[in-house]
Amino acid sequence: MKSKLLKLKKEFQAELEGVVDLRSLVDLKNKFLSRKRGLLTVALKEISLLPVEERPEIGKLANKVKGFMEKELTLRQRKLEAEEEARRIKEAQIDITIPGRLPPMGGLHPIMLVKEKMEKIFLELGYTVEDGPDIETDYYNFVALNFPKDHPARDSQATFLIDEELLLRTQTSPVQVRVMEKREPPIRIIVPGRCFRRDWDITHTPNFFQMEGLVVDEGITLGDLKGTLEYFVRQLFGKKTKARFRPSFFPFTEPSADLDISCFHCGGKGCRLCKSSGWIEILGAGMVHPNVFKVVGYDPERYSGFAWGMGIDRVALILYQIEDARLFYENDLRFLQQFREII
Amino acid sequence: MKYSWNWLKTFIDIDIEPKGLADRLSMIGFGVESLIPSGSDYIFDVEITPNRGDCLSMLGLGREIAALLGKKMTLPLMTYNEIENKTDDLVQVKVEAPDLCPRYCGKVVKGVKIASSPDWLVEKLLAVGLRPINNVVDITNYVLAELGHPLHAFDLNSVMGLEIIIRRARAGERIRTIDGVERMLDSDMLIIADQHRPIAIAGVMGGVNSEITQKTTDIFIESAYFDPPSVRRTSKKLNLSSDASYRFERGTDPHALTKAIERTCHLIQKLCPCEVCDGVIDTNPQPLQPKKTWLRSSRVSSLLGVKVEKRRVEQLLTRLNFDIQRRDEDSWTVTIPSYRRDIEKEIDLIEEVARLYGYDQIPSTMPLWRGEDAGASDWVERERLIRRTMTAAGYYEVINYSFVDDNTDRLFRTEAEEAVRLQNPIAEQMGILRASLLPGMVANLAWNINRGIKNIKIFEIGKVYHLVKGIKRPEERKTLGITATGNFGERYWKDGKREFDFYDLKGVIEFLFHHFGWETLSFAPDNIDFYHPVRTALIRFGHRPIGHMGMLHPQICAQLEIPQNVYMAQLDLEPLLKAEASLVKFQPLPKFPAISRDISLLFDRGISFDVITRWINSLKEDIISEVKIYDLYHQGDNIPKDKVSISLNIQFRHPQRTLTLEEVARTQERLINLLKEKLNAEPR
Ligand SMILES: [Zn+2]
Repeated sequence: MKSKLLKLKKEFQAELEGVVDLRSLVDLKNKFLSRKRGLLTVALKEISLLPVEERPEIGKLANKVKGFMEKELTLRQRKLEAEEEARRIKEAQIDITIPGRLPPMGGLHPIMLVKEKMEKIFLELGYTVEDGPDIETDYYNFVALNFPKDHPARDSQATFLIDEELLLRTQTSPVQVRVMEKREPPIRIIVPGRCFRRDWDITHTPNFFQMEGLVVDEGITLGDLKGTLEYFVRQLFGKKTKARFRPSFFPFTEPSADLDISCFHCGGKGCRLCKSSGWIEILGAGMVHPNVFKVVGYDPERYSGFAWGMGIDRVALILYQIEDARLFYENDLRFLQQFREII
Repeated sequence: MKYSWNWLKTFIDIDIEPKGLADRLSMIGFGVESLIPSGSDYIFDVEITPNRGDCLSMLGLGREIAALLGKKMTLPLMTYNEIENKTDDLVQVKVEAPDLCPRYCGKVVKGVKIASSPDWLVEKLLAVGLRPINNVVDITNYVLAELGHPLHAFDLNSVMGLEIIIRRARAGERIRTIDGVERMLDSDMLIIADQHRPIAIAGVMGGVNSEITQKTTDIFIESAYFDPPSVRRTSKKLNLSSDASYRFERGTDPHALTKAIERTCHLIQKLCPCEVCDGVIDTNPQPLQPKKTWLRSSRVSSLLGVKVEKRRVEQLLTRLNFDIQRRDEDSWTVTIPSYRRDIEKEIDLIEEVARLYGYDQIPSTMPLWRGEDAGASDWVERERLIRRTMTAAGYYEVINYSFVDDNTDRLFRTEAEEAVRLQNPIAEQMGILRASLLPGMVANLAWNINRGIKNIKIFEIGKVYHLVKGIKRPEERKTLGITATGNFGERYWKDGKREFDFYDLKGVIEFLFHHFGWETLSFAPDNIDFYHPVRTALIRFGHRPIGHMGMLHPQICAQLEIPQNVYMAQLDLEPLLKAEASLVKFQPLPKFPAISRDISLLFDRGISFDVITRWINSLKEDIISEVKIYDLYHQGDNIPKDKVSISLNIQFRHPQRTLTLEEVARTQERLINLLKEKLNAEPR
């Protein structure tokens, strides 16, 4: 009997060696330990047939063999399960280099991106945004802004006419007059909007966007104009941007200035963008002309102010280094999709 | 305008390099666009602003350079010999329109020999971009370039009746100008005439009939002051501008007329033997009193934001040839040089001080703010959010020109809409202001499709313009346009591909409104010509129609050569920019689970989902919490032609307890029976 048990153990050990998966492990378990016909189960039943004095020793041995088999089976099962798990994980491998599935993508037009960036800078300073009509009168677009009739100052603003009196505004400046007519100082506004001029070439389109600014209060100085616009260009073009103010002429401001910024592309050394001058002209500005104050009924002895205007399209051309302004209005998706900034 | 370095140096001892001069000129208001070496000379191309007509000459810019460098100027030689014959014995001048010609001067030179100019003169003219013609004409052009005063030389023997009359043209009068073009004149135009005919258009161009030719021996030199707006109007009307008209428009110096004649005579005598007649005809020797104004030191400082010493103000203005006298402790009386037509008042003088003082010397400050806190108004923020919503939904923003072709725009206008027409469009196909955003946006789709991009979703926010009956000013309304074509989204592995359809468009509009908490959006069938007749809807916000949407009519699509279905919508943004956004009102979360049931039913083809939900609502079964459509078949497997299969998903829920399956089954049966009875539905 003893040898029979040891033989079963040996046989079990041999067969266990050959077990490669959970299925054959179950088969092995059944072969030896199945409740009814398991080889060891059957052998254990035979113990009761042995003489009483042999039973304790053989019984002990039989339990030991059984314990051994159960332990081995459990160990092997764990091992196989671990192997199985590892295989499943390995088989789940994917190619992580395939590009992701994007959610639906849209984007702002670059002009609007730039417009909102510029707006944000002034909104944070406490300016409000104002709006005015695209279709203007000769009075608001020119006369009230100190552009006399038959004056060469009108030459730079080739005007679309609707009838004797109505035209398409060539600048956002008429909104200055409209706002001042309605309100008393202090005034601090920006006016982004569409403007129209009869020009069409690589840097001019018959409509374009401008942003106007106006500050009126007691004691406003040319120094305030400088400080405000220097802050603005540093915010928009980067902290290191330098500003240069040159005397200029606009009928509705005096003194007037053009503002150049140091070229952010070459850092002032000279490049294609700045036409090798190191400077890029960015906007026109000036102290509000007393004649404009008189038109809106402000006392120029009490109030002073400054105003500026810049082409949003032009700023976008410069910021993104686009060479042809007409691209803005072609709306080619291959163009629009490049401006994925989120602001 | 072009300036020659060597020519400028004949007036001023310039002790800096050309490049340095260019930089410093830019900083006092004369932007140097280019500086180009030319032989031993340098040519400056300088932008002269329209207020500084006085600088359109070597002398004019020279005065600025002298002020800049603190130098004195040497004026060119003006000496010549005269014979005894008097000019006014040879020719009479009569000004019939003194309002347009406040001063007219002239002088006769006899016995000139017309020839080509010597090399030095030709070189100087070419340097500043003038074309040499013959010695007399070249000298007048030389004086123009040098002193800035336009002159005209007439062939005296062509002046009929030896009388020069400055008058308005008569209707129907014509003149052939020296460029060879026959010009029709009108009674607003000032002309120079002899006793019989116009011989020049005043300040603009001379006539062929009196021009200097090889046969000319005696000349009459005109040096006049013409009213700037009048010259400008005439030049615009004739679409004819000249070096002379350019300067007259910008205002010349009425006091410099005789100087210009003297300089001319000096040069003519230098170039060829001739007889300069005695005296000058001058219709108004003292045309204007010198202009005076005042300037306050306190005002200079308060406007510039920097204290400028009184001595410095005096020094800077004196350099610019202003005569400045102390008036009291704070102020001066300032006499303005006659050529500075741009200076009238104190503010003009402050600008002069500022630009010579140097804008870069003025300290930068930030304005103090004593108003209320501002920031973005609601409509600005609303427009910004609408843009964000559209981009989040996968749409790209476009911006189109406000100008469109009337014929295309007409396709997208209703009978009632009338477009605003431009008097002077930039191109024929851009003749009107858009009455709709859609023609431009549909053109954007075509543009991209033609370039191989077939799946497109775009939006535009911009104004549309309409004539309104009885109101002079056309109406402008901020509008949102949406167009899409092609597949709904990008095609990815494991995903199906689906064509963009009506419901995608409707969904994005609903998305927009839900963002602002607006629940009163509704869609109703409509018949707008440019939409597919049975795939279009009128959009209402509350009870107010605010837009329309649908599929572009296949015929228009074909007419515009677009080979894909196009969906589009247009909404008036004005009410949306003003409408209050609704605050979110929190709903407590349900405490008991819902039971979900799917039902598929066959309905008649013309059924509407709206009618189905209305009948379901009429059951007043509180436990039906939601009815959704999850599938829709029109044709195909076992579905008769006149039927449509609709699959509904119904959620049953009771707020206070868990529902029993029996309750749900009972309600579901009531529902199906109702739909069978009322809508002829058949369960599948
Ligand atoms: Zn650069």
